[in-house]
Amino acid sequence: MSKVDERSLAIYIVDDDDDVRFGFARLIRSVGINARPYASAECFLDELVDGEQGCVLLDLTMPRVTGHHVLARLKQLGSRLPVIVVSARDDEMTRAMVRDLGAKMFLRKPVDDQALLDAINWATGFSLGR
Amino acid sequence: MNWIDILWPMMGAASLTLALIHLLVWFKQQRQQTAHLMFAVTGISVAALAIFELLMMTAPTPERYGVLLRWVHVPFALMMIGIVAFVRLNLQVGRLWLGVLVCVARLACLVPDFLTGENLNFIHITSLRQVPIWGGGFVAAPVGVPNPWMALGQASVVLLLVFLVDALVSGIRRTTGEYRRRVILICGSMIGFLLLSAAWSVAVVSGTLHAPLTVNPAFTGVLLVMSYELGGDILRAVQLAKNLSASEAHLRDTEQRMDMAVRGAGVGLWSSDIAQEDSWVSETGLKVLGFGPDEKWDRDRFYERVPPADRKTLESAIASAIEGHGEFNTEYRIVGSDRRTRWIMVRGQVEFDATTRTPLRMRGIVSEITERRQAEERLRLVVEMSPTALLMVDGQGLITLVNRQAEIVFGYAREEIAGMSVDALVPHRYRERHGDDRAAYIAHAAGRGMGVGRELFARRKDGSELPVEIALSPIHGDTGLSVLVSILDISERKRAERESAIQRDELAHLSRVVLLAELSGSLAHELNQPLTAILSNAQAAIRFLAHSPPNLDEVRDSLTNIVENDKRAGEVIRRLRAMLRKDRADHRRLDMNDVVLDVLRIIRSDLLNRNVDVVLDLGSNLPPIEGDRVQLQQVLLNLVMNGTDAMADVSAGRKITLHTHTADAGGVQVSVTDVGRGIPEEDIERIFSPFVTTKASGIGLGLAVCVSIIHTHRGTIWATNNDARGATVHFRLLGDASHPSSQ
Repeated sequence: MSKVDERSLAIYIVDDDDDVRFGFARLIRSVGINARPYASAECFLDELVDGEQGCVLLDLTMPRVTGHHVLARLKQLGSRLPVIVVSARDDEMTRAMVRDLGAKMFLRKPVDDQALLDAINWATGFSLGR
Repeated sequence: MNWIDILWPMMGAASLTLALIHLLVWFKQQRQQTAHLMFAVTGISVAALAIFELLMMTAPTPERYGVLLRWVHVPFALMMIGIVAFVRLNLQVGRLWLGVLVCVARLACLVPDFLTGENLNFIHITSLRQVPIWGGGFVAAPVGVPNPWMALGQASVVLLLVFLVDALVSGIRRTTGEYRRRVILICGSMIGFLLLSAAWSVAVVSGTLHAPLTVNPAFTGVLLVMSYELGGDILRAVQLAKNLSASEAHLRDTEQRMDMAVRGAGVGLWSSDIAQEDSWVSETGLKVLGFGPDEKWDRDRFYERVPPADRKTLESAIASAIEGHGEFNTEYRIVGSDRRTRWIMVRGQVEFDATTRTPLRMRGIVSEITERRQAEERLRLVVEMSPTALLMVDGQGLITLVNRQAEIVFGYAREEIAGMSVDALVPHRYRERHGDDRAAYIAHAAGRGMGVGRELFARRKDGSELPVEIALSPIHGDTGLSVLVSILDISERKRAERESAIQRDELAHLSRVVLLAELSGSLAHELNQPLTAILSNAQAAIRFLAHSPPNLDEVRDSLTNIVENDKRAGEVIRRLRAMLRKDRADHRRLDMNDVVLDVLRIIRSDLLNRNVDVVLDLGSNLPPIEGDRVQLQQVLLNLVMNGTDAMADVSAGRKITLHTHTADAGGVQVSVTDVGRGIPEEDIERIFSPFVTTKASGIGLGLAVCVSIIHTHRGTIWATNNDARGATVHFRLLGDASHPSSQ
C-alpha cells in the first residue's frame, strides 16, 4: 500500500442520524483528517467521484436507500473505496450480509475512537491518531 | 098487616146488619179505621129510626106518638153526626167548621125537643089522623100545634145539605180519577136522598102521595151508598193484599233469579234486620262463608268463626256505615266448618227510615277473595323479598313503603324510614339538586333511569355513602301520583369493575412487555444512536484538548452535543420505562398527534430496518382527548407492527400510513393503513377477539388488548380492507368535551 498525502484524504460519513454523523465527523476532525458527512445514501452516491482517496463510514439503517444498497451500488460501480459499516444493529446475519457485499469491516455502535481509527488505518493504510 | 109492616123492619134489620159488620171491621183493624165506626153509628141510628117510625105509624094515642117523636130525634142527631164524620174521615172533603156546625145545630135541637112542648115538632099533638096508604091500610099521622123550634131542626138539615154540596164541589175541584168518582157518588147520592126526603114530605103533606111521613127510606139509601163505598174499601184492600202477595211472589222470584245469577259468580246475598237482630244469608252466601251443607245460618256461630281482630274490623265498618254514609266495604277472614280459613269481601248498605233516619235493615253481598288475597300476599312477598331495594314515594317526596332490602341498604328500620322525605337518603351535597330534579320528575313522570350517565350515591343512616343505580316508575293511583323507586346497590359491581380494570391493566402490561421484546433490536438501536454520538463527541473533545493550543471551540460544541444526546438517550429510556411500567391507567388530556409521534420514535428504526416507509397524515387542530398515553401508544404500536407484519411478503413499496382527523362530536379518529395482504373477509369481525390471529406467529392477544384498551377509553375500533391493497384499522375516541372541568 503506497504512502499517500493524508491531507488529500477524506472520510465519508453516511448516517441519517445527525448526532451520530456530527459526532463521527468531529472525531475524525480531531485527528486532523477531512470528514465529509452525508445525511443520506442518495447524497453520498450523487457526489461520489471515482478515484477518491479515503474510506466510508456507512450506517445501515436509513430510510429509502439503506447501507446495503450503498454497498451493492459501490460494488456495482467497481469502487475501490473501502467501506467500514458502523451499525447499532449487530447480529450474525447482518455481519454476513455486509461482508458479502464487500464491506471491509463491521463495527457496532457505540464505537470506541481507537477502534474506529484503527479500522480506518487498517482499511486505508493510514496511520491516523498514532 | 101492610107493606110498611114488612118494609120498615127489613130496612131496620139491613141497616143494623151493615152497622154491625162495619163495627166488627173497625174493631178487627185495631180501631184504626174510624170511618167504619162512623158508619156503624150511622147504621145503628138508621135502624133505630126505622123502628121508631114503624112504632109511630102504629101509635094508638096522640100521647104515645108524641113521646116516640121526641125520642126519634136522638138517633136522627147521631145519624147526621155519623154522616158528617164519615164524609170528613173517609173522603177527606168538606169544611170542618161547617161539619161541626151541622153537628152542633142538630145536637142543639135536642134541647127544645126535650124541654119545650111534647117534642121538637109539636107543642101539643091533639089527635092522630088515620092516613090511607097505597095497597090498602092506614098509618097514623099527628095533628096538633107545631113547635116553633122546628125551624132549628130544618136549619140543621139545610146546613147538612150545604156541607155536602160544599164537600162535593171542593171534592170535584181538588181530586181526580177514582177518588173524584167516589166523592161525586157519595156526596151526590147523599144530597139526592136528602132532596128526595124533602120532596117525599112535601108530596105526603100535600096529599099527592099516599104514604107515611118518613125519612127512613132516604137515609137507608144514604146508608147503602156509604156501605157500597166502604165495601169498596174492603174490596180494594183485598185486591191490594192479592197484588201484594203477587208482588211478593215476584220479589221472591226475582230474589231467586238474582241468587242464581250471583251463585254463578260465587256471590252470596245477605240481609239483616237491625232492630230485631234477625238476619238471612243466601245459600251461596253460606257456602262462601264456609258453612257446611247441613249447617243453617247462625249469626252467633258466624261471629265465633271470625278471628277477633277481623271481627273488630268488620264491626267497626258496620258501625261507621250506620253512623255515616250508610255503605260499607271490608275484608275479613273466617274459618269454615272444614277448618279452612277464607278471606271474605263484604259490601253492605244500610237502609234508614225515611223520616226518623233510624237504621232499619242492612243488605249486601259476600264473596270469597282468598285467591286474590293470596295473590296479593305473594305480590307483597315478591316486593318484600326483592333483592332490589324498593321505595314508594308520594307526590310530596315522602316515603310510603319500603321493602326489606331497602332497610338493609339504607340501615333504617321500616318504622323510621316510612314517612321520611326521600331527600334524606341523598348525600348532603346533592340534596338541593335532588329536590329540584324530583319536582321536575313529578311534573313529567315517566318510567326511566335516574341520573343517566351520572354516578349516583345514596346515603345510609350512619352517613356513609354507597354507589347506586336507580330506576323510577310512576304509579297513578287513587291518591295521586306515586313513584316506585328501585335502588340497586352497585358497590359490589363497582368493586368487580375495579378488579377487572386491574386485570385488564395487567394484561395490557403483559402484552406491552411482549411487544417491547419483539422491538428489542429497534429499541437497542434507538438507544445506541445517542450513546454513539456521546462517545464520539467525548473522545473527539479529549483529542481537541490535547492539541496545542487546544481547540476549545470544538470542545464546547462536543460538550453541547454530548448534553443533547444524553437527554435524547434519557428520553428513549424514559419511554421504554413508561412502556414497561405496570401502573394503573392514568387518564390525562392528550393530543393524539403527540401519541402518534411518540410511537414513531420507538418503532422508527424497526420500520427502517424492515424497509417500511411511514406516511404521516396528521390532522391539524385535533381536539384533545382524554386517555392513558402509554396504553394508546401500545394500541398504535400494535397496529403499526401488525401492518408491518402484514407486508412481510411485499417486496417493494412497503408503506404504513398513519392518519388522524377530527371525528364527529369532537372526537378523534386514527387510521393505520398498510399495503399488505389484507384481512380475509370472514375474519374481519373476529380479529379483535383473543387468540385469533392471521399471522403465522403470535398468540393473537395484541388486537384483543387493543380492543380492551379502546373500550376502557369509551372508544370504538374496527377494521376495513382497502380498495387497492392491504387493510386499515381505525379507532375513534371521544373528545374530552364531556369533561370540561378535567385538568
